[in-house]
Parts: sequence; structure tokens; C-alpha cells
Amino acid sequence: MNLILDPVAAIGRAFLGIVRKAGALALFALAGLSHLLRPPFYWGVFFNSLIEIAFYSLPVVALTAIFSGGVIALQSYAGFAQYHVQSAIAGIVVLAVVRELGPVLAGLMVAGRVGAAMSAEIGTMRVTDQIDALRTLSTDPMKYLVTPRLVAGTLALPFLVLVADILGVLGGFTVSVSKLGFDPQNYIIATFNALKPLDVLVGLSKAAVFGFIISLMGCYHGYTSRGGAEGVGSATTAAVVAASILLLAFDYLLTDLFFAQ
Amino acid sequence: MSALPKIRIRGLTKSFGSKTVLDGIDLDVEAGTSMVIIGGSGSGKSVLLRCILGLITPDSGTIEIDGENVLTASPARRNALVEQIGMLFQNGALFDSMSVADNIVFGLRAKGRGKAHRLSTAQAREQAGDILKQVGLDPSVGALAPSELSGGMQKRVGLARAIAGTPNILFFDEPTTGLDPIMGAVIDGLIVDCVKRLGSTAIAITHDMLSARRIGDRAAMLYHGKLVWQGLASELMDSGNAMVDQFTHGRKDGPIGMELRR
Repeated sequence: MNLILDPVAAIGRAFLGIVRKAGALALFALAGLSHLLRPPFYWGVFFNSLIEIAFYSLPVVALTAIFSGGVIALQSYAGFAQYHVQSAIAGIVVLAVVRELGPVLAGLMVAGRVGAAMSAEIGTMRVTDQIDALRTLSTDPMKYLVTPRLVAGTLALPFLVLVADILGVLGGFTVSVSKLGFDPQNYIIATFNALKPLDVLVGLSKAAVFGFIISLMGCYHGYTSRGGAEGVGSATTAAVVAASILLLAFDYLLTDLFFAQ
Repeated sequence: MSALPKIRIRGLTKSFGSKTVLDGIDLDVEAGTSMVIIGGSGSGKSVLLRCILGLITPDSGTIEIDGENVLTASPARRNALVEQIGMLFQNGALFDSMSVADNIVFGLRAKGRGKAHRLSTAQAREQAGDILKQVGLDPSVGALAPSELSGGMQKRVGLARAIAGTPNILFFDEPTTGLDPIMGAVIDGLIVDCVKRLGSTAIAITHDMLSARRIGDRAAMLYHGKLVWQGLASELMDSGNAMVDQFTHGRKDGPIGMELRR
């Protein structure tokens, strides 16, 4: 009897745990967003978060985009040369970068850098009573810590992805022209011919969703962390892993929504 | 003493799972007096303070401030009642993303939003410097980060932040823990000064008997979630209660020790 029921019970418990976690996360997100409608809004925290995410992530996102654009050009050339369609490389590079690689790679880089930092900062505030101290100083911690970061993440990622798009295409252009012998003018014309405004808009929309997810995971895991330094460490890891997985899952869903025929 | 206690607690209970931390607490703290609560680790002292502050919701009972039940008040009214309270946390709980001065400005602006909220940054910083002087620190300390301060200085800044909003009620969570005896005496002296100057009502929880007698007008002992003794702080070392006497004199043998060995 137990041989049959125990595994079912274990699956049930795990499922209920996931549902409980998803519910808690949804309530946390709603609570964070609801403060947008109720003043005050902490502009100082917002601008600090915006600078932390958008400005300080620029080098890592830029380098990732440049090299990724270059790699796509090289790999595409290796494959397309067999069928004598090298001329499609400019289009492949720009579409791959703008639709997918720009948002996803920038998102993953920011998840690793900013999601972890947010979770560690808020988690440390939790275990050192700083969040309780905010409450005793008549300040709602959700309003002060979470809402400005959610907004900053949602606005900063599209900016970073726009930079990643430009530099990714530049990386592909540089490799194609300097290493693969493409004509610069024809490459640029082919790039603009392949690119549609909708591709850029969808890429930036994805970025906004990813930015929200990264900030939400960082804030949620930090805010709910328990148990001293070890708890903060676990929360930081969980924030990065959860943000990365959710980011890829939402990438699929959004791609399916916008580009599936 | 006024007829109505500043803080009145009746039948307060709180359990975490099967562990009962507060078990029917009845406590009155008269306006303008200092109450010291002593008790061993895990006896429920911090939970009691956090219940009054609204950081933890008790299972049952009432907590009245100025005769108004905090637990049944509307959220806005509850915020207004709790806004009267300033708190010095055990480790200071200073915001480490801000400078010392900004921590105090935060306290200045957060409480009593009316006048302090309208202060310009320069005025707020000047006031922060004055408050630092009140806790025996040079205003130049304001430029430092909390991580650059010693434990005693962090407590002083925590106290400065707590008193910045001129609260009617002050809570102190083990204010001398981790400090050397001289710094402990300095902090106790500052606490007594601040409470007297502001005319505040204070509750302090501590393990430090010297500190308890220096800070408190009255004292109470928590044991297994119950208040087992209340009296004058000056009587702490000679209370006539076996548990209090064992605790205050740090005796190995006694009713508390016998319980622990079971």
C-alpha cells in the first residue's frame, strides 16, 4: 500500500509546494506593484538601482554582445558557405541578435550580476534587522526596497538590450568584414533590409519582462531569506537560478506569442 | 503617575508551531517611566517588543498605547500609534548603504513627517550633527559609513537615529550586549539622558543586571513566556523571588537550573 501511496504523496507534496511558492511570489509581485499607485515613491532608491543595473552592467553586456555577434557571423559562414548563401549572414546576425541573443544574453548577464547583488543586499538587511528597523521608522519595506527596484529593472533592461543589439551587430559586422571578406556597404544594406521595426520592439519588450523577472527574483529571495549568512547565500543562489530559468521560459513563451506562424 | 498607563498589555500570547513563546502576558508601563525586562535567552523578551512594534502579530491578547488597542486599530491608526515608538536594535541595525548622517536624517524624516519632512537636506544634516553631539559623537562621524564604526559607536548612532524623531516611547533591545563595561555604562548614561530629556516612556530588555538597574525605574522577569516577577528595578538584586535572585546573581543552582536539567 505504502509503495503505491508514498510516491504519489511525495509528488503531491512537491506540487503543492510549487503552487504555494508560485502563489507567494505572485502576491509579493502584486504587493510590490501596488505601491506604484500609493505615494510616496522613493526616487533616490529608484535612481540608485537604475544606475546600478543600467550603467554598471554596461561593460559585461557590451562585451558579451560583441563576441556573440562575432561568433554568429563565424558559425553562420561555416554552415552557409556549403550552400553558397553567405549573403544571408548579415540578416542572420541581425535577427539572431535583435530577436534572441541580445535580450537573452543581456538578461542572463544581469541576472548573474544584479539579481545576485539585490538578493544579497536585501537578504543581509533582513538578517541584520535593517528591514525591521525600516518598519520602526514608519517606512514600508516593500515600498522602499522592492517597488523602486522592480521599476528600475523593468526600465533598465530594454536600454541594455538596445546597446547589446547595436554592439552585437557591430561584432558580426567587424568579423564579417575583417575576417570573412564581406563588403562593408553591402553588409550594412543587407542588415537594414533584414531588420523590421517589430523585431526591435519585440526584443525590447522581452527585455522589459526579463528585467522585471530579474528584479522580482532578487527582491523576493532576499526579502524572504532566513538564517544568517548561510541563508543569504542560499537566497542569492536561488535568485540567480530562478531568474535564469524563468527568463528562458518566458523567452520561449514570448517568442511563441510574437513569432510563431 | 497618570491613571492610564502609556502601554497596557493584557493576556498576550504568541506561539511558533508547538512552542509557546508568550503565555498570557499582563504588563503596564506608566507614562514617563522606564521598564526593564530581564530573562534568559529564548524567554520571549524580543518577541514581546516586536509584538508591540507590530513586527510580529500575537495570537491573542491586547496591546494598548494611550488606551487604544493597537491590534484592532485601523492600519492608518496603528501606524500613527506605532510611529510614536523609537527603537534601538541589539546590533544597531544601521542602514549600511547610507552614511551615518543619512541614517539619522532618515530617522529625522521618517517620524513626525510634518515639520521634519519639510527640512532641506542642509538643515536635516545640520540637525543630524546636533543629534550626534547629543549621543557624544562628533558631527564629523556623520560622513563615515556604519561599517567603519566600532560596536559602541554603532550603538550610539542607533540611539541617535531612534531619538531623531523625538519619540514618546523608546525601546532598547539589549543595549549593552557586546560592549565593554565602560562603554556599557556610557550607553546606559546616554539612554537615561535621552529618556529624561524627551520625557519618553521606555522599555529595555537586557541580560545585563548593572545596565538594568541603571536604566530602569521598574523591572519584570520573563520566564517560559510568563512574567514571573514585577517590581522596582532597585530591588532586582534582592527581590525575594527565587527565580529572579538566581538569574540576577548568576547562580548555577536554583529553580531555573533545575528546570533546565529535566
